[in-house]
Amino acid sequence: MKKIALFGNPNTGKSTLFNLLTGLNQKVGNYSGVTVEVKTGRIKGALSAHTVIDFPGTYSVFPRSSEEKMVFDVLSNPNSDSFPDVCIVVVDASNLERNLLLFDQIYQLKLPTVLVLNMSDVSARAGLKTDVDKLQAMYSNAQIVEMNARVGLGKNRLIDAVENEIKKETNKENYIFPYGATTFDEQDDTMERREKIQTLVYEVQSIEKDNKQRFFLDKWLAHPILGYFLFVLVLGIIFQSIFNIAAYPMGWIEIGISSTSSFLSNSLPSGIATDLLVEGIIPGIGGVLIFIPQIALLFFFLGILEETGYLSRVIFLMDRLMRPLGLNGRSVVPLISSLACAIPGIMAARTIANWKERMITIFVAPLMSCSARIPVYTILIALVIPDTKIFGFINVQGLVLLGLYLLGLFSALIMAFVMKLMIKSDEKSFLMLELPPYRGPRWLNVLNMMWEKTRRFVFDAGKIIVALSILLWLAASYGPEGHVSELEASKFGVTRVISKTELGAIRLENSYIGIMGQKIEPIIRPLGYDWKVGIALITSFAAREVFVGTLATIYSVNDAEENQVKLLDRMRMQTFRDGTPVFTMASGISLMVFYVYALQCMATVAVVKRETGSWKWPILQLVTMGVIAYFASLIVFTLLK
Amino acid sequence: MNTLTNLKIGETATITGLLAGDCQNALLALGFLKGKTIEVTMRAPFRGPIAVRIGQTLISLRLEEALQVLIDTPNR
Repeated sequence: MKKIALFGNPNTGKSTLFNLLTGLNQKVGNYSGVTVEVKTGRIKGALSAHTVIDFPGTYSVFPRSSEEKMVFDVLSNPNSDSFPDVCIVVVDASNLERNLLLFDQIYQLKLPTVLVLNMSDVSARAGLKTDVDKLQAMYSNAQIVEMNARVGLGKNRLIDAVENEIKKETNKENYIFPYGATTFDEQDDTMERREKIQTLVYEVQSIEKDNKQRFFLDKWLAHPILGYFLFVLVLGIIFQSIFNIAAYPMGWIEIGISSTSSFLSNSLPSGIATDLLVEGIIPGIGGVLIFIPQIALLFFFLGILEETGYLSRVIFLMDRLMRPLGLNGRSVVPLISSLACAIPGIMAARTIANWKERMITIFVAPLMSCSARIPVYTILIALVIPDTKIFGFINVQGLVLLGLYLLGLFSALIMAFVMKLMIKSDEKSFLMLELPPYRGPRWLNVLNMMWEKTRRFVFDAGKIIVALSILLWLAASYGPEGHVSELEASKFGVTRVISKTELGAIRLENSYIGIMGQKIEPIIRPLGYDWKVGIALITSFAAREVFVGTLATIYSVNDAEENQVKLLDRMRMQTFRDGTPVFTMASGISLMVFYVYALQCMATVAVVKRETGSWKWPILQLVTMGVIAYFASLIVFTLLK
Repeated sequence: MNTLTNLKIGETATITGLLAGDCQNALLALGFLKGKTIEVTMRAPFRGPIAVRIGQTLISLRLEEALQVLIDTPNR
């Protein structure tokens, strides 16, 4: 098996080419210690025995950003696992002068190399004519292929060229990588190469007309005032569509999960294994599946924004506003993604090169209201906020929900500012960013991004949510007395024949988690919660929305989804031992505020650990957010009581 | 010394050099070369980043990055 590496500047269509070559035959590679995403895949057909590696877009081989360091490390070490046998360098034919720098540097390494002149249609429209023969004469050891990866033109020519190159043997013994030497002068070399390329491009390309119209949308989209309004509008439309469209598949998933559960519990013999499957594993999987529609849709829309070139305008517009907060224009996408789920948001922070800005972005991302909080907010709002209108048209319940979102957002911004003051770093922050010409989205790329991000969520977060659900199920079904069965229920003062749901409640109360809930009651009592709420706080560490399901179990409501009214009634009836009601406006709002701040999501903790490479950050984050949650709820409850 | 920050929207100038600094190489790689014509096309508000056109490429950079780019007298 040989390795075929794809290199190229950002915005050259390198990913499109990779998708074209490999289709869905690809995966994100694991490179320990490297946060940069590297994809590997296979080409169908004659080359199927070999691996294609899509390296991140870079402007040169010198290690200035984390992406460039990755490429530098691979190319400088012929014994590296990913050291290429064939290099494909993708260049934007309409921007040869800048793109050829990387190619020229790689060409000098004397590895089998194919140069792809991509986007021939764009360059033709830009009025550029390229003399390929002349270019070939100057780089005689490389094969040059003209392509339009976007429409799939030239794929076979590229495969033929790679087939020819792959037969060549690279002599790794005599491999020289000049760019890493300490005596090597990076700046002189770049300057010299630049001059050479400038003359070269002058000889091989002729310009026939200008192409300013490819940027004409900037007049509105990047306008200093209108641009911000349009950005807010775009976000509004996206989130409106996400919530509206996702509601349908989410309904189907819910029905699917509950009918699978009831089918299995009716058809399998009753026993521990069935209980584990029906009460632990299936709800755990359901808790993962239910988020897929929103996450997939969010990345579908973000994919479109990225593909059209709009996202780089957002970075351009937002950079100045984010910097006083210790963030960067590139923090906007991670924070927006976190409105669906913090996990893809935290992973999206990889594009931030500056360490401090990246850490701050990761740290505050979970404060953005994710979709797992919605079921919690919904039930609590229905419970304690009156369904009335102020000024005749503003719904108070809706207003409270909006308030919770804004509380999360502003807390994230304030937290970022505090962290900016606290973290010391001398590393300089850069923006330098290409604003690519506007163009229609390439749907294959959009779908690929959607697929990839959703897959990462399902596998990264999913594993943890399911594993934790099983663990919590065990802790919620077993106690010091073992697993409470129907016969033993009498031990706990029940003398009559009881239903399955009532048995469930007794089981939970006498389980390890139930006892834990009672143990923590003195701690959470000042916030207005009783031990039953304490149980739900503990179980919702699997995922926040588990809160609702746990309350349903504690209050013996057999299906929280279908019986929301019943659950609400039961919640209203709950009293402390002194007879005062548990759920009042004060304790309800205190609980909502708790969920705004607390990092009630172990999957996020695990992903932060992976992304930052140590336990320091996730633990700091868990503790900080927990402490803030506790005191914010305490203040709210004390004031409203 | 005239730097890119002095250029107003719509004005063009010729790049005369880059100041030594952290981003010199990145600027070179992005195509900020001596002799190239550069045009400022946009400015984000509150002294935010500017967008410049060099040849066919539009590049956004912060003002402190633009300070490293030396230019001759702007053509209005």
